[in-house]
Formats: sequence, C-alpha cells, structure tokens
Amino acid sequence: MCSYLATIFITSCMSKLDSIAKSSSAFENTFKEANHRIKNNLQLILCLLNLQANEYPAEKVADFIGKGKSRLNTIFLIHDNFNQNNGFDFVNFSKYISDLIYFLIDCYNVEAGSIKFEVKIEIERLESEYAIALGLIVNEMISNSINHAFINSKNENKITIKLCKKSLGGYIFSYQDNGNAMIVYKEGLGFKIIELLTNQLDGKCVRSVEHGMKYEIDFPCME
Amino acid sequence: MRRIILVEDDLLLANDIKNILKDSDAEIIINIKTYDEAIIAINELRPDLVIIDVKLKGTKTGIQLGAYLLESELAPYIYLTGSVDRLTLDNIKDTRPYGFITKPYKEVDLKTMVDIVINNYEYKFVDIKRNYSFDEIEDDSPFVIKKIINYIDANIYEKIDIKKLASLTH
Repeated sequence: MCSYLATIFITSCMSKLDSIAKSSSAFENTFKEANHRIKNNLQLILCLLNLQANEYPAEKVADFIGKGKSRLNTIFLIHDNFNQNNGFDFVNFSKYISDLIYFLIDCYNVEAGSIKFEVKIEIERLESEYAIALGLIVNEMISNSINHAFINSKNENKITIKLCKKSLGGYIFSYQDNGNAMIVYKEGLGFKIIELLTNQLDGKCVRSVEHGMKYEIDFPCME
Repeated sequence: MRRIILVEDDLLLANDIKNILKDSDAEIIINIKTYDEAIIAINELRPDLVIIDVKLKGTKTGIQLGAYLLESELAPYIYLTGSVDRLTLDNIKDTRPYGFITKPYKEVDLKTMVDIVINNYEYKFVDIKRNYSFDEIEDDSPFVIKKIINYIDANIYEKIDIKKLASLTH
C-alpha cells in the first residue's frame, strides 16, 4: 500500500515537473522569439536612419528628427498590436493603422478634424512582416499628404486607405488623397521607401492622379 | 570591378548595406530575396562574394544556400544573422562559411569582413600554386630574381646602383 501511494506521489510529482519544464521551455522560446523581433526591428530603425542620413541635399535637423520619429514610431506601434493569441506572427492590422493615423496627426500637429480618414481593412490579422512593410508605406504616404499635398489645398482634406483580399489569393492595398498631386511627384526618400517595400512584398505599385494622388499596391499572400 | 550579391529579403536593410559598401569598388546586387532567386543570380552573374541572410523568405533558408555554395564552389560566402542559438550555429558551421556578421551590424565590421574575404579568396588559389609549383620550375629566372632580392636585402641601408643589379642578372 505504502509503495503504491509512493508511486502515485512520485508520478504526480514527475508530471508536474514535466509541465514546469515544458512551460519553461515554451517561455524560453517566446523569449528568444521576442528578442529576435526586437533586434530585427532595431536593425530596421538603424537602416532607416542611415538611409535618411544619406539623403541629399541634407535636411534641416528638425525635419530629420520629425521624419525619423514617425518612421521609428511606425515600427514601435507594431509591438502594441501583435495578435494576442498568436505570439508575434500576426498583427491586428486595422487597429495598427488607426493607431498609426492617430500618432501621425499628433506628430505633425494636424488640427483635429481637418483631415477626414476613411479606413476599410477587410483583413482581421496580417502577418507581422507584411504589417511592418505596409505600415512604413502608409507612414510615407500620409506624411506626404500632410506635408505636401494638403498645403494650400482648397478641398476638404480626405484620405482613403483600403486593404482587401483578392478572390484568387493575394491582397490589394490602396491609398488615395484629394490634395495637390503634382507637388508630391518630387521623388525623395519617402518614395524610395515605398518602392523598396513594395518590392519586398513582391508587389506592384501603380501611382495615378485622380482628384489627388492615388496608389494601388497589388501583392501576393505569404508562402 | 568586383561583384557582390546580397541575398536579403529585408530590402531597407539591403539598401543600407549597399550604401555602406558603395566605396568598396564593387557592384552590389540587391533585390535577391529567396534561395531560388539567389541560385539563378549566382550562376548568371558569377559574383566575387555572396552575403547571405540566414532567414530568408520562402521554404529554403540561407544555410541551404551556403551548403549549395560549399558544394558548387562558385563563390565565397558570408552570413548575416540576427540571433544565433547553438543549433543554428552548428548548422552554419557545417557549411564552412568564410565569415559571419551579426545584426545589428557595424559599418566597419561589414566593410573589413567583405574586403578580407574577397582578398583571401583570391589569394587562396595563388598561394596553393606557389606551394606546389616550386619544384617544377625549370627556367632559372626566379633564381636570378632571388639573387637580386638577396642583394637588395643585404644592402638595404646602402645606396643601390641599378647597374649593379643589372650585372647580377647575367
């Protein structure tokens, strides 16, 4: 009887130890993964600042810091929007974009309500790699609209952002403002970033002028 | 001009590295994001160096690309990676890379690593030739040059007359 109870006791202890070991290894994996993400994102920030520093002609310090801040924050906001049950693989994209808009309005001192945003995101969650790339793209587009297209614009300022799934797989992202499109045609680092990140998504970016600037990016799903 | 292929799916990063290496007198090819794209580019462009990100888009990793280069001996290669655990490091070691850089990278590390690896790879074959070809030399001109070198070496603090050097060659 005694030995029987002892066996039960030991077995239950073993299984507890087992589950502790399992959860600690799960914790270790999560830690590693988190560390990896952070390092990657820090590296990305360094690269963005380097690219900015290489831009010619050199910007004013205030502009440099302003743009740097908005790019850095775009990456930072990703960490607030990881889909809770899925670790670091997916992002709640619709919330991410509204956080980003909220931040940019604040960052560029836009008067409340002076820009009307229409956001239609048909995808609940998006792979984080895609979300960061699209986030940085959106950041450049909104910054462009606010800092160039809407200056001296007579219309009621409006920005439309859409992301939808194609029936045959893949996504279509579109962005449209109703500002002065011609001014935006100056090709700077912002446009280079849009171009590079579109390539990174294996996508195609079409720009057109339609009562303002319109971008449409067509890109495939992740393999 | 030398040619470097950078296999990296993060294009902002690739662009930054391209900028860092732009003074190195090499053409840097970016926009190569997967194993398959890399294989095509390497075979077509015959680079002097391949820089490989360990984590790539798609099913095949950078380490598999390293293994391909180890086998095919098409070009020397170095890895670029964020975090390294024991297992990844062992896998990396199996492919015998010529170098390794961790992210976040420092500009100076990247520049020197690239320069040293390309240089070593070029001299690797030159040195092997030197070791094996000594006994086979039948022409006596290397010995004449050796005479001259010895003379210069022995008289390094003296004034050396070019006519004297010429006379040693007879």
